[in-house]
Amino acid sequence: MTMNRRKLFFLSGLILVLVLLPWVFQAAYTRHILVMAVIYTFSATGLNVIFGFAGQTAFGLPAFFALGAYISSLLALKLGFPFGLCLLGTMVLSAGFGFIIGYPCLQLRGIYFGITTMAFAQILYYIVSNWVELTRGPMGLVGIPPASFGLGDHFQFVFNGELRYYYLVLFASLLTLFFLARLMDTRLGRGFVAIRENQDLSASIGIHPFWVKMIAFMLACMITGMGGSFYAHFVKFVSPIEFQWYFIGLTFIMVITGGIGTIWGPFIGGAIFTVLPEVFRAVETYRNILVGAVLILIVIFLPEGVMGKLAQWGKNRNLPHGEKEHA
Amino acid sequence: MGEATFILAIQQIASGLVMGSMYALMSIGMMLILGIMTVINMAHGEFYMLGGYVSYFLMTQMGLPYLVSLPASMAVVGGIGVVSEKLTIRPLVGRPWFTTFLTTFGLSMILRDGAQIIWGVDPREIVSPFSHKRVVLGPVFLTQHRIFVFAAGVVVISLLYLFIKKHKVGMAMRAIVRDREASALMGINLNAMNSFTFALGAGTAALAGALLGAIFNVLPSMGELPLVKGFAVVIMGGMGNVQGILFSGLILGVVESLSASFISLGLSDAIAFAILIIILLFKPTGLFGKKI
Repeated sequence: MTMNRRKLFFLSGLILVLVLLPWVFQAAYTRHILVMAVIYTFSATGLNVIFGFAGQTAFGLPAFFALGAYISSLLALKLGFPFGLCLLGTMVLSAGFGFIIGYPCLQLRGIYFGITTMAFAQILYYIVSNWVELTRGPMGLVGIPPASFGLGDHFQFVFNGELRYYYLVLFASLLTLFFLARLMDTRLGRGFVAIRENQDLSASIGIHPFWVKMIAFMLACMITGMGGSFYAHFVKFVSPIEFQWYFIGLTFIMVITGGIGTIWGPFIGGAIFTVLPEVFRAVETYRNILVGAVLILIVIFLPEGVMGKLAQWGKNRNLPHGEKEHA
Repeated sequence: MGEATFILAIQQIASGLVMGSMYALMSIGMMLILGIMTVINMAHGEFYMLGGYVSYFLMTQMGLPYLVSLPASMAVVGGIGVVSEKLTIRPLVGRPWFTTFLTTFGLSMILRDGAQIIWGVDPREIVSPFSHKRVVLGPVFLTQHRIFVFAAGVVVISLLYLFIKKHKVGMAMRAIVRDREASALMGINLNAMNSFTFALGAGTAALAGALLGAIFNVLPSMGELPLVKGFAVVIMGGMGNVQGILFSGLILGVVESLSASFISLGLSDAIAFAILIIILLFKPTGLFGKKI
């Protein structure tokens, strides 16, 4: 991963700010929002993998957040798994469901792919709402244990409280982004982008579109599911409401506002658009109207997103020195 | 299978056909908008919802009879459609298709919550003059209203079919689906056609909302299911094929209605998507679609 100095400077500054943020906002409520903001960045980053990098409009993907939350809760409640195994199990199972759902959907392209993933999201919603013996239906799952790591009963470190959880999810999300940044520098990562730019052309140079898209989709499902797992063990309650449509729109806003196909953009967009609805909560009744209006305005007026604008600005600044921008 | 089961099945098929005709009516608008404008209209369910509300208020506030409120609500919601198209779709001409998916998604959020704020969440009941008269057709009981809904659906769909086949504007629509640039060169005004298509789609959705609003109730969130089922029907039917849409809608309605009484009431809504996925796996061009 080559980086120029400006980027390195920007990133270390950003990470420093993220680490210090909970000390600026010390109230339990604001720290709660900070944790939620980082948790939702998983959803945005997941969508970014399949939509931003691989160019596949998986409208149904945000449902994997709810699915991950349910998988993790059920692993903890029904099988008594410790948190580490719940998280791991959620990642594996989310990717597995990604394969099952991706297999029929990826036979299709573009609009049809998008609608079909949404059909699957709806099916998941109906199954979760109706399989009362397993999921308690609309009543939701309660009593999900908090996250903890350790060996045996004596060396447990419990991530209770907003501050500990914030650092847990921040670490996990930074790790995910780091992994993703490395991945995008590999042959596979470039395969994602090649398919986004021109699927037929990329097939002609030896990239297998179906399987490369499948890997991107499974990875996206895994990352989104991880977010759901972190959500479940933080809020300790999941219900079918997590499948609501509002969340699909919101996740797309996060990715587009941040910057489609950039590593950090969706993270920033995810954080902004978790905090913003909270700010709008003061006018709760108008919240969806405001979010909807912001979505329309951003799509029309800010298509390249915050990171896209920053990158443009960085490029222009660098040009006189003849530095080459590394995308 | 006993005789009672058989009669229940016939009864369910009859009500399934009624619902199916409305799914088809919703889907034709969505198909036209998708085919002509390459727009997935996520606000289509909200036009359906608005149709129900406009018809309700025209009847209760202005004292119009139900039959007059139907075309009136089509006109009003069609007008709302024209304005919506100007605000959320026109600025994005030439941009990737998912951008309009997102703006119409935003529009749907605005319209749904706007309706909730203005009219509240209490269900409103449209009183159709045919609501309480029962008709017995052999073993089947239906209200007159359900028969009216089915008839209205089939008649409007047939008119749309003839319009698209024979009328000059319908031909222009088909030309645009074939080749946008070439039809613009032939003197077809693309912007006007987009407005017209959107108004037509919004109007037909409103009609479905006003018709079904008298069977179920009118609610701000009533548009969500018809929207997703509408898409299922569009894909099942195959693009650019009015008859295919009609048959797919009817098939979906019947299968759903049968599974509601023979499999599970809660899961019957998921059936649409299960059928959709099976069809896509085995015949991606849709049941009645041709290979492109």
